[in-house]
Amino acid sequence: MFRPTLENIRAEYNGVALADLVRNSLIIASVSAALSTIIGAAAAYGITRSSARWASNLFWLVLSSRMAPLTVFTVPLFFMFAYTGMRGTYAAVILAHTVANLSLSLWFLWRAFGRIPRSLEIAAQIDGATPFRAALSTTWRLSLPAIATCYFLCFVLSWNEFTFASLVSAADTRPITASLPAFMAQGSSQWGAFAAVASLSAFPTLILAALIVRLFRANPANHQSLEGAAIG
Amino acid sequence: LHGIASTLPAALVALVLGCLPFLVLVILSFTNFSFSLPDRSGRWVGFDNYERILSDSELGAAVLRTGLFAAIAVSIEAMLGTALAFCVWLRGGRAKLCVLFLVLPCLLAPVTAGLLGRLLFHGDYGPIAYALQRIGALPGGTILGDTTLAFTALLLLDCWQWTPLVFLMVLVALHSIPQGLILSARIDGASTGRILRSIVLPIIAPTIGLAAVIRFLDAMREFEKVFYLTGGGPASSTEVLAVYSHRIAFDHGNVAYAAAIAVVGLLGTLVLTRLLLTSARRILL
Repeated sequence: MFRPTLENIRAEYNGVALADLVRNSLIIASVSAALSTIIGAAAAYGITRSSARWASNLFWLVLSSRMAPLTVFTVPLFFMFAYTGMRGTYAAVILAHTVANLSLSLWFLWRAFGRIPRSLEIAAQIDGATPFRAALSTTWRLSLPAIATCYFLCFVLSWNEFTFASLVSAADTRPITASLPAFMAQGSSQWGAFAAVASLSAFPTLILAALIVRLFRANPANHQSLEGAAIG
Repeated sequence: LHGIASTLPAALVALVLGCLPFLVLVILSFTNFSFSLPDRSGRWVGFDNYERILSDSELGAAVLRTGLFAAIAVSIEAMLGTALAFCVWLRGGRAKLCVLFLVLPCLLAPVTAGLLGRLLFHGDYGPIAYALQRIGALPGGTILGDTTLAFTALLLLDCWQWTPLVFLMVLVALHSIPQGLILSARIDGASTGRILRSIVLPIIAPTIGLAAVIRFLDAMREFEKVFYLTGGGPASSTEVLAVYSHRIAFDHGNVAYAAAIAVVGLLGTLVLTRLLLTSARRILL
């Protein structure tokens, strides 16, 4: 009944090369993660260095935007991309994912920057560094692990994201996650193929799981990264 | 001041990326724009779409269904996740590998979870349906074709995927409890039950609350899993709010009405988030 086979790990399905799907996913996830991390980091830095009054509402704001109905994002973005003719390009999917992940990276990095004492930066300035240099070599330098974690989280979220990717991408820009349902069209369900592609598409997720377990082993009370993963 | 000035461009980009789509959404909701109209042009119609929301009984049913789904799923997940976290915590260092396996489902893409559920529950070739048929527990011969069973399958799938999230958050909170606290209570003669009740529970209660709030709000917007497990059927018995509005926007092409629903949904989310967060804070802290 069950015969193990490597039949399902083929290079091509229904005329779509598996390598192309992975390439599309890599392009979209890496660029959008970079964009949302950079923009989020800069904005988060600005918030930690300004008054704490409106920053205290940030958690609520971020949480609500994460929890808003999906159509709040899909409807206007779909409309905008369709109207400007951007639909089907990498840029459309990348922008959509950047918007979706921005609140997470903003909140995550705001927490990370908030942990680093301001006095370090001031000390560097007293030692003669320009404000830019001072920020770079203290706050930003010390936050590098958090920034890297944030990048990876955004990468996995973008990789796993389905709705935008399937609405906005075209056949030649479709990432692997968005192509999954194509393997179970009614009547000719290719479950073997689906399972093979699904396992492949879950690869970054597996790395994330391993990282979480490692973090957990190193310091079980390490809230920050786990919290970020939770919100994500 | 220099710090603010240097990050102003980025903040501006964040603002534009965040606010422009929202502006488009609000404007769309006051038009009759539709992808199914031949000329694809919208006309200003004022509050027509919002009036339609008030008289849309299908929408009302979808909202109720979503609330029911979220309430049941989150209650189960919160209890089960907390219980699991306690088990692993009490076992100490020996249970670390099982953390990896327990965490996996909540990291899967929801669409994968939905399709996987479809594979497992499918009436013709799903192993779960097959097993139930064999022991004669499935008179209708189908899980996803039965209104009650399909909803149950959806709940099961959601619990399978998201119990690990509660588990993980609670486990982290449990590990952050200083050992000295428990030791000194024990030296003072407190029983294990007393320690759990008076020390452990008050410390992890806010985390359980936060996890439940996050899960509840997330369950209210559940889309991909439902869409690919049942597609909203049978007979719209699993058609939650997100699936309904997706159908309006992208199957019927009625973008304007979907936009109005989204605006109302967003306002509802804002109020709900604030209410849940403040009430959780008041009860738990």
